[in-house]
Parts: sequence; structure tokens; C-alpha cells
Amino acid sequence: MKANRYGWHGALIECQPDEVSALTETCLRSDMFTEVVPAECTVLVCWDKDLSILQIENLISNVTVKTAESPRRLVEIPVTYDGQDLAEVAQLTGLTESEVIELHSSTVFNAAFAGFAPGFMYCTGLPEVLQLPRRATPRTRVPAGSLAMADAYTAIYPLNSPGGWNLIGTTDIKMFDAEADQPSFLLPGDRVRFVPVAR
Amino acid sequence: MKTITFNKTVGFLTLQDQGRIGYANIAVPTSGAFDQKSHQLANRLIGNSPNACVIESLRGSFEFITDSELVISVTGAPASVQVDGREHEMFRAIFVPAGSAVSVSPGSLGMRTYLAIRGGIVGNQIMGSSSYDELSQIGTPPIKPDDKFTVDNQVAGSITGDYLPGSVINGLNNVELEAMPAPRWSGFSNSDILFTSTYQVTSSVNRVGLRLTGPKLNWNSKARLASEGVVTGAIQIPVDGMPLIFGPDHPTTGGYPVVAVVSRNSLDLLAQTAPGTMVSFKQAR
Repeated sequence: MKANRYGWHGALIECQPDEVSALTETCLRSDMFTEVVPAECTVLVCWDKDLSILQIENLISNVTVKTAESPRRLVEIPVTYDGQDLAEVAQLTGLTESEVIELHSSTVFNAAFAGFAPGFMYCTGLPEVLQLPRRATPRTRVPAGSLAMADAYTAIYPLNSPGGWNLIGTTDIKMFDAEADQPSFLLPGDRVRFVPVAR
Repeated sequence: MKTITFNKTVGFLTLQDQGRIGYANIAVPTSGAFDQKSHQLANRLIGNSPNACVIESLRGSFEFITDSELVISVTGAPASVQVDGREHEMFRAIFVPAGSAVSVSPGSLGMRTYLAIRGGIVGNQIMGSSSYDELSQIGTPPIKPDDKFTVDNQVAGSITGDYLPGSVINGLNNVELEAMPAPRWSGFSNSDILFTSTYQVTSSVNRVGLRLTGPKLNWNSKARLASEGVVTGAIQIPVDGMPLIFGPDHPTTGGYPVVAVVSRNSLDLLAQTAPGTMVSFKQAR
């Protein structure tokens, strides 16, 4: 693990993908930072007072995969696999639609990091056979609650937005609610499973 | 309750405070006033709390009527400030009688003018801030005619009425920005050109960021960089090799490498830098 100075009030800590959760937890628990932003193999920390890289190095020096205190929660999200691109995904992967559904819904994903839009969580762990490129032409409007896949990720669009991912299902869960105490339904570090429900 | 009603608005007028802190992990930008120095000064002149919500006007014109007496201040890009048709100075506390019309119209320099009201303006509080976030489109929607706002009680002290002539924004040509190499600095084959060249601000500028044009920065690797957190002021280099400097509403993570980061003071300058302006970067010590 290495803490690199990132501007006047930030540091980018590089680590292994499996260390991100434990490192994030340590950084959050320290109360030293205004922002803690985990990603695939980094954690960005920002602060508003005087901190040195040395203090951050001390903080992270004992972090290992095993130091995580709280077990990562498993979040189950009910989805209907009725996405507009499901047939095309089946065709491109050489699977049947029910095999795509079976494979996707039996995988436990990792909510790795957020980006693109409030509450949009890039989930890793997508089986290789389901990894397809983004659509050649992005849609100008993807409805909130759409379950999608692209490259090595799966995610749910939290708000109506443009989008180029392959749509495979929908959920009624409100993934982002700015008025709620916890605005994002998923948090980085969550384990995620999609549970098929009939519409 | 003191209420102001807008009867004329032209341009991009938003409410801004210090922004949403602590939500970057769920992809919510900090947002908040772009020129923080001008925001803080506007509040200080009239004894407001530093986080009080003010109007940020992007070269806009507006007029509002107040039903009660107010004390206001105007900072940032030079503008004409009138109360019932009478011209007032910026960078001062201005007394506004009940029933008056306050109008602001832009001058020829700078980009963003700030108007604060003693007590602060009540906006649409979302996740601890009333700021309009241009990327996520959350917070108080941009101000339009007939909008009404009430005045808050975010007062920290008495009206100081300081006058700080040094805060007046002069013509900004050849702006020098202070920058510090970022963790991916050495992944570029020619990062040094950032500090030896001159760049020009394009017309692609908003609260999310400013695109520049000039000598191309070359990223060494063909391999995809894993997405990582980015800070306000980060100078990101997308595939075309042209710098993009992130403003307050920037995306919280990104997959393009960041070569360097500009300082807070430089961000305040960038908030006032018009398209076409030449900028250069000086390495921070």
C-alpha cells in the first residue's frame, strides 16, 4: 500500500483490489477525512485541515485484508429480468435467456465504486462469459431502476439518464433518494445479489 | 419572513454555499461556489456564516424585489449593482429599503458575480447543501422569473463592511496557475510540457470543468487505467491529450489519468477566466 500526495488536501492510496474494503473502513473510522472514495485498486482521501502524508502512512501501515472489522453486508435486490437487450445478450454470449438469468442471479457481486451519477455503483464479479462491450450507440434515456451490464461490470441506473450499457432487467427499488438519511441504496464494499422476481 | 421575488433573470443564476461534503463515495460531487474567495468575502462583508447561501451569476442579469429591508453585498466579477435605479459599489455592505428593486448586470470582465443577503438565502437543502450541482442536477434549480426565496438567519456577527480593493477582478490575460504533479504524473511521456507551455481556455467551460487547448500530453500506456477518485482542481487528460481542469461539480471518479492538480487560489481564478484566455502552469513548491 502506498499513499501518494494528490493536491494540497488529498492523497491517493494504491492497494490491491481485495484490500480496498479494509482500507476504506480504516480511513472512515479514523475521522481524519472529509471524503473517502474507494475505487478498483485505490482509495482517495481528502481532508480540510493540516495532515501530512506521514500521518496517512502511519494510519494505513497495519491495514491488511484481515483487519476489516465489520463483515461486509450482503444486499439482495429483487429484479425482473425483462431488459430490452436480454435477447441480444443471449445471442451474443451464445447462451439462452434463462442461462443468462441463472448465471447473473447466482453471482455475488462486489459494489466496487461509484461514478457516472449519484448512487451509480459499479459492481464487479461479472462472469467472463457475460462480459460484453457497451452498445455502439448509447440510448439517450435509460429509465431509473434499469439493471445493466457492460465490460466487466453490472450496475443499476439510479436515475433516468443517457446510457450505453446492455439492459437486462428492472427493479422497483429506489437506488438513489436525495431526501433519505442514506441517499444511496448501495454503498461501496457491499456484496450484492440480484434476486429474480416475476413481474 | 423576508421574501425576495425575481422579476427578471437572464443567464445561468444558481444558489451556492460551501457544497455537499462527504458524499463523493456515492458519486455526489461537492458542488458549492466556484470562486470560493468571492463567496466567503460576500458573506464576511455582511456578517454571515461562511456557509450562507448566495447567488452565483454566470455573467447573468437579474432583478428582484424585496418585501423587507435587507443588507446585501456583491463580489466577484465586476457588475453594475443598482437599488431602485441608483448605482452602488461592489465589495461593500449595501442597505436596501423594503419594497426596493435590486438589479445586477454584468460588466466586461470576469465570469461569476456573487450576491449575498444578510442571513443567507433559503434554498432547496439536499444532503446538507442548497447548491445547484450542474452534473447531477440536484439542489436548488437555476433561478427563473417569478421564483421566490426567503431569507435565512445564518448570521455570524455584525456587518463589518470591510472594503477590500485587492479583491476586484482585473482583466485576466495570461493567467498563471499554481499546480502540483499528481500520482499519475510520471505515466506521461512529456508531462514537463505542462509547465513550459501556454494553453488556451476553450468555449467548453462550466461548473464541471474547463477544457484547454495547447500542446498534447501523451499517456505512455495503451492499457486502461482503473477508475479512481478525483479531486476538484485535477487536470485530467482524456484520449485527445488536451487538459480538462475539474471544477466544483466534477465527476467523483474517472478512468482517464490526471497529470497534476491546481491550487484552491488557482481554482478561484479559473472561476473568473473567460473562454479564449491564455493560461500557464507554475509548479508549486
